[in-house]
Amino acid sequence: MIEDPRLAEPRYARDRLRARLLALQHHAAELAAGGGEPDAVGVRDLEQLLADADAQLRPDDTAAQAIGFAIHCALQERRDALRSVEESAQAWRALYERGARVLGATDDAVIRAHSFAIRYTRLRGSPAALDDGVARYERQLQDRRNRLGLHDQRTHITRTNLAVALRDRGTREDFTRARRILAEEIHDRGVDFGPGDPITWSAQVIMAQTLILEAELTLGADERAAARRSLCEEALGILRPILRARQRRFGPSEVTLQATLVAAHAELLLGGTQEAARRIRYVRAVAERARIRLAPGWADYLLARALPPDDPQALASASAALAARLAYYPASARQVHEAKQLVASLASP
Amino acid sequence: MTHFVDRLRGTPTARWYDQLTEQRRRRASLARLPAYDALESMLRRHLDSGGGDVTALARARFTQAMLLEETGVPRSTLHHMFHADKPPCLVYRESPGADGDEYGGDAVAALGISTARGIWAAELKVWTYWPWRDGWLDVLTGLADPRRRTAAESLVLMVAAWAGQHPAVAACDDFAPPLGAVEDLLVVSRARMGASDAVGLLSTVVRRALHDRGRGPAGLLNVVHERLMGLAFDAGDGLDHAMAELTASVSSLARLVPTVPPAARARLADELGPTFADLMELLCPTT
Repeated sequence: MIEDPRLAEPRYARDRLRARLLALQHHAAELAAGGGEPDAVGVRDLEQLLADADAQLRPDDTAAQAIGFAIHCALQERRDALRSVEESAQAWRALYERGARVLGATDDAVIRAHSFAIRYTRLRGSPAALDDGVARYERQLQDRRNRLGLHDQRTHITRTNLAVALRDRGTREDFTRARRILAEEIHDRGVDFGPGDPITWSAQVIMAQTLILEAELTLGADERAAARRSLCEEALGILRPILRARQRRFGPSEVTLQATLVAAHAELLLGGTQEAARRIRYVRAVAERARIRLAPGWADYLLARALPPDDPQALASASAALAARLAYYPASARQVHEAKQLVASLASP
Repeated sequence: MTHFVDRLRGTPTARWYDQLTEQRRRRASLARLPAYDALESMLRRHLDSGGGDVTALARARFTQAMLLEETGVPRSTLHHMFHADKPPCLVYRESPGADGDEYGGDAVAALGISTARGIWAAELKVWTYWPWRDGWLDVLTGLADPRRRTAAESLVLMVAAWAGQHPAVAACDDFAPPLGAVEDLLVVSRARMGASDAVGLLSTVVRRALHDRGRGPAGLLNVVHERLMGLAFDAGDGLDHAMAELTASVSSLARLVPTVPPAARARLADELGPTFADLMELLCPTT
């Protein structure tokens, strides 16, 4: 093969690096299937890309800095699968601050890094972090509305992120507002992108999950059983066509498995424990084989609830969920608390 | 059978590009490069002076006289360089039938590249697209088992990203995609789609990339995904192929399963049970 002299030209080198980054991200599943150490999948290729970028680009070139930043972001996303919430929160905050300094706070990639920083800070779960998440997304939404308009995909994404932040803060008013925003988002995305576009499905899955979390809030109050049931049925009604659509479009990938777990959660609350357990076991098996990392402890926590309390597997799953969540979330997080409660209730029936 | 990634190295446009590279290495410069630069600058000026209106630029019909005057490229140069009967012109076809050529001629015809002016713009599109193609092929080459379907998707991402990076070049001539991308799509899809369908699909990607700047390459892939699958992967002998693969995998599993420990068998059952149940539900719906 002949060495192309254009490789030494900055414009060629930049576009070629951008192309490799895009292709590496799109072919990530095939990279994972290629073997190697499970923890290093994707990270090694991105590190090589970063080294090439450092070698091929001049550091004082703004376009080159933007590419370097994009590769750093992709690397952080990969590393998120290998570390705790606290470590991710620190890494994204540092990356966001660096990006804002070098590329400016209104750069798209920098705003995306900011969203990751907000997300992991929120996942720490303290009341201050939850409030801060809502406030930051409110500001980001205002900024994107002003600069990009209502119909830009980036504005849609921030608006949905705000709904998630509200839901996770979780007061009654927050839930009401989150559901209103999500209903509008599903409608607006359907108009702007079409009802069959995966970006519309994302808003629908988030809506389904929000309905289920709201149903969880009403657990224990018998008079609300009907309301709880209707929330879960509505969630399942949203999810069924999306499960099929995601399976068809993306195969048994991360987003398909996430939606499957949300559906299992709804079935569980509706009393369909066997069907829920079957779905959760399926998700665990696929995720393990394809090296897909879902929210730590999520599948095990749901499985422990789906199994009969006297099944030893129930306690084993709850304990596994608690261990995974303790390793991932701060000890004070809601996710750790609920897993602890489940272990305690299964250990002393 | 040659692997599709190897076939990508031998497309007519890839061979053309290799020729230019070889010439450039020998002579350190290429006469056509200043002509590319001049055309690209001119297209950018038009886009800027039109307030960024990509549709106006896409529809603009530049006469040859206008082009020569605005770019300062001499008429003799134009006809000498961008002439279909003279190598190393992009659409010069010395030996039809060589590996990859079966798609090349169709793609040139589907893009309607014929005049010197058209060849000039088509070469500029390929020239600016090449780093994207090069990076894409580099990643495909590094995969142990690259899949055609995913490669077709990532090719769409490349065309979308190229258009976003080079809006003036991408817009000219009705948002025509680079010839090399059309040939690549035909190779990746085993020519299950016709060249004109490939041109139509990739032109849509270019046009939407320039109109919906906020969507990004992945969002733009969503726009054409159903069409891409319908044209190239859900059609033709796709079913026979999938059934042949499934039958082979099922018989491999039948041999392997007795050799794995019970815990691993249980995990396989967890995964395969719902997978086959979903498939049977599609085949024979219960409701």
